[in-house]
Amino acid sequence: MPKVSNPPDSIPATGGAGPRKSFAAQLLASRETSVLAVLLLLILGMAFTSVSSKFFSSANLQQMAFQVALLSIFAIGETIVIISGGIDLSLGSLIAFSGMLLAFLVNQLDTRMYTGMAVVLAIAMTFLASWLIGAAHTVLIQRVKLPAFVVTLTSLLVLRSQSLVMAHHQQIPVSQEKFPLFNLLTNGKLFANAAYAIPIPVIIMILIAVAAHLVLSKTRMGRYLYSVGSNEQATMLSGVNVFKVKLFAYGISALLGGIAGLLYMGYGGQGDPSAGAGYELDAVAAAVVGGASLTGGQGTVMGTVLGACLLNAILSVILLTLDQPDIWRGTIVGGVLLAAVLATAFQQRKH
Amino acid sequence: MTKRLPLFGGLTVLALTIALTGCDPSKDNASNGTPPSSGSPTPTSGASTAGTAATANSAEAFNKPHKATGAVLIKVITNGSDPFWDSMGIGLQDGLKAIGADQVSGNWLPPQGTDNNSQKTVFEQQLAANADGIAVSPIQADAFSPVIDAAIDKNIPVITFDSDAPKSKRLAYIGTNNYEAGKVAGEEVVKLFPNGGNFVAFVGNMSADNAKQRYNGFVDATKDHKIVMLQDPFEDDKDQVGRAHRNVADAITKYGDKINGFLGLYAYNGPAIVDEVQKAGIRAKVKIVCFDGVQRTLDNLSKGLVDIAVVQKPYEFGRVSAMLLYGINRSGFDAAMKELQPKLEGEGMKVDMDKHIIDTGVTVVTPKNAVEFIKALHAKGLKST
Repeated sequence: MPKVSNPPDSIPATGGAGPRKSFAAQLLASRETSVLAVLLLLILGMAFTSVSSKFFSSANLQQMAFQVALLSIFAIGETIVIISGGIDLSLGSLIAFSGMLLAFLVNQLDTRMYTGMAVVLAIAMTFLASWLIGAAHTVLIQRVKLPAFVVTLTSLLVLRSQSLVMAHHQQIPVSQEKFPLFNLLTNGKLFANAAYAIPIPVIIMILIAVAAHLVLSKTRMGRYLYSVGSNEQATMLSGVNVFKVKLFAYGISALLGGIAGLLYMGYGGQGDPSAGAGYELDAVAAAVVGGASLTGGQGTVMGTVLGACLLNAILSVILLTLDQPDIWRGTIVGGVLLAAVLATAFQQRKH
Repeated sequence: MTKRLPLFGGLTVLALTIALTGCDPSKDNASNGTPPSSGSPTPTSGASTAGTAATANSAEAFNKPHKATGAVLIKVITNGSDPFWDSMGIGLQDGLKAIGADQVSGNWLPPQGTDNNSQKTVFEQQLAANADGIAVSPIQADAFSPVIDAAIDKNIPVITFDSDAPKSKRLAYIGTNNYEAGKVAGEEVVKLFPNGGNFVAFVGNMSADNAKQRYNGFVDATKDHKIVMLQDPFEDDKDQVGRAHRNVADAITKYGDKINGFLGLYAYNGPAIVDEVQKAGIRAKVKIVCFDGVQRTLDNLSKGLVDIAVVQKPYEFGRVSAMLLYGINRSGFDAAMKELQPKLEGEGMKVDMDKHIIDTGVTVVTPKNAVEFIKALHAKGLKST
C-alpha cells in the first residue's frame, strides 16, 4: 500500500459502494443484484428445459466454473483499470506473451538448475515482466500524458508480435511430465473424486477476487481508485498521488494478465503465440455487464465476476439449445451487452 | 434504483433465449450435401469454367521463356506466419539449392496483417523489387484476384499455393486437394468403424474454403457407411487455446456417450481434442481423427493418443513452387509443366495439365508409422509439417 502524505479522507466516492447507504438498500439497488437475478432466472429457466440434465451435469458446471475463473482473473484487473478511468487493451496479447515467456524461461532455466527452482524462478520472472509492462503503461499514460487507449493498443500489437518473435512463430511445448505444476494449476481439481470437484483456477480466482474486493472497498487505495476515475483533476488537487494510484491499477491488471497467461499456457500444454486474441474485449464486456462504466469511477469485483458468470451461462445455454451455437454467439453476447448498457443508461437518467 | 432493473434485464435475456431457441435454425443441408465438382479442389460457384478459360489464355502468353539467362529471383508470399510455413520454407530452400545458387535465389514472406490489403502490400513490394516469379497463398481468393491479374498483365509469372484463386489468371496452383484429403480421412474412418458411428467435428471457420472442402470430402466418403455427424462442426474462430478446448468439452457435455469419434479439421483442433478427451477420461471409448502434422499431434500420435492424422506436405509446396517458377523463367510455362509432370507424378503427386493444378497429396499417419514418419521429418530439419 503506497503511503500518501496528507491523506484526504473526505474524497467523495461517487460510484460503487456509497458508504452512507444502509447495507440492505445498497444490496437492492446494486448492479450485482440485478445481474444475479438475471443469472438465477436463466438457471431456473434451464431447469424446465429438456437439456436440464446436461446443463446441470457436474461436468458442465465444472466447465462453466473453469471458464468463469479464467475470464474473471484478468477481467478483475480490467475492472480496476476501468474504475480508475482508464482502459487496458493489452490483456489478450499479454496472455499470449506471458505464456510464451514462461514456457521459454522454464525450458531454458531447467537446463541450468533444479527443476523446482527453474519453475519458481520462471514464474517469478514472468510475473515481474508482466508487472513491468503495466508500469510502462502507467509511465506513458501519466508522465508522458498519452491516452490510455493508444498506449495499451500499442502493447496489444507489440506484445502479440513479440510472442510470435520469441520462438520464430512456433509454439513452445511445456512437458507435462517434467513440469506437472502448470497442468495441476490449470486442470487440477480440489476434491477431485467428488461429484462437485472444484477446478483449481476457480480457487485462484476466488482468492484474487476477495483480495481485490477488500482493496477496493476497505482500503484508502480503493477509495482513491474510484475517486481518480470520477474526477482525476479534483483528486490530484486534493493531494493524492495519482501516479501511484494508476500504477497500482495498471500494474495489477498486467500482473493478473500474467497469471491468466500462466493458466492458459497450462490449458494448451504449451506457450502459444495465438492465445488470448480478443480476450481484452471479453474482459471489458464482463466488467460492463457487471456495472463498470467506461467513463470511470464505477464498477465492482463482484459485478465483474457475476458478469463473467452470466456471459458464460448464456454461452452454455445457447450451446445446449441451438444447433449452430457458434454463429449465434456474437448476436447473443452483443444483445446482453447492449441490455446491460441500456440498464446503466436508464439508471443514470433516473438520478 | 428500484426493482425494475432486474426485471428489465431478466426479461430481455429470457426473451432473447426463448426467441432464439424457438427459431432453432435447422441444419443447413446445403452446406454439406452438395458434392463439389469432381476432383476440383475449389468447389466455389462458377469458378471452374471462367477460371480455366482465364488460366489457359494467360498461360499461353508465358510459353516463351521469361528470363532465359541470368539469376532468377523468386518470392513466396504466405497468408500469415504460422509454423506450418516453416516446412514450406525449408522445401523452398531445398528446391532452390537443387537448381543452383548461381541460377536462382529467393525467400518467403508473410503479410504484416491477416487481411487482404496487407497481403496486397507485400505482394506489390515484391513486384517493385523485380521478382521474376511469385507464388502466393491468397487470404481472400476473389479479392486478391485483381492483384494477381495485374502482375500477370505485366508479364510476371504468378502461381498460387495452399489456397487457390481460381478466378484469377494465376498460371498454376500447387497445394493439397482438401476435398481429397477429407475423403482420405473419411475412408480411414470407415475402416475404423465398419458398423458406423457418431462423429463431432471441430474447425476454425466453416466459411473458409479449406474447411468446407475437408468437411465435404469427409462427409461424402462416410455418409453411405452409417457415419453420422451429430451436428455441424463446432467453430472456434481460430481461438486456438480457449474456444478450441472449450468446444470439445462442450461437445462432450452435449452428446456424452453418443460420441464415437472426434474429427479435428484444423491443425490445432487435434491437440485440443486430445486434451479434453484425456480430461474427461473417455479415450478408451472414442477414436480421434485429425488433420495436419503440428508438433503436438505428432507427439500424440507417438503416444497413441490420436488414431489417425491426415498430414499435408507443405514442404512440397515450397519445393515445387521453386521448380515451377524457375522452369517458367527458363523454358516457358508449357515446357516447364511438361518437364515436371512425370517427375512429380513419379513422387506420388497428381498433376492436372488442363486445370494447371498440382496436388501434392497427403500422408496418413497412425500410431503404427508415427515414429518412422517423425524420424523422416527430423532428417529434413523439421519438427512439424
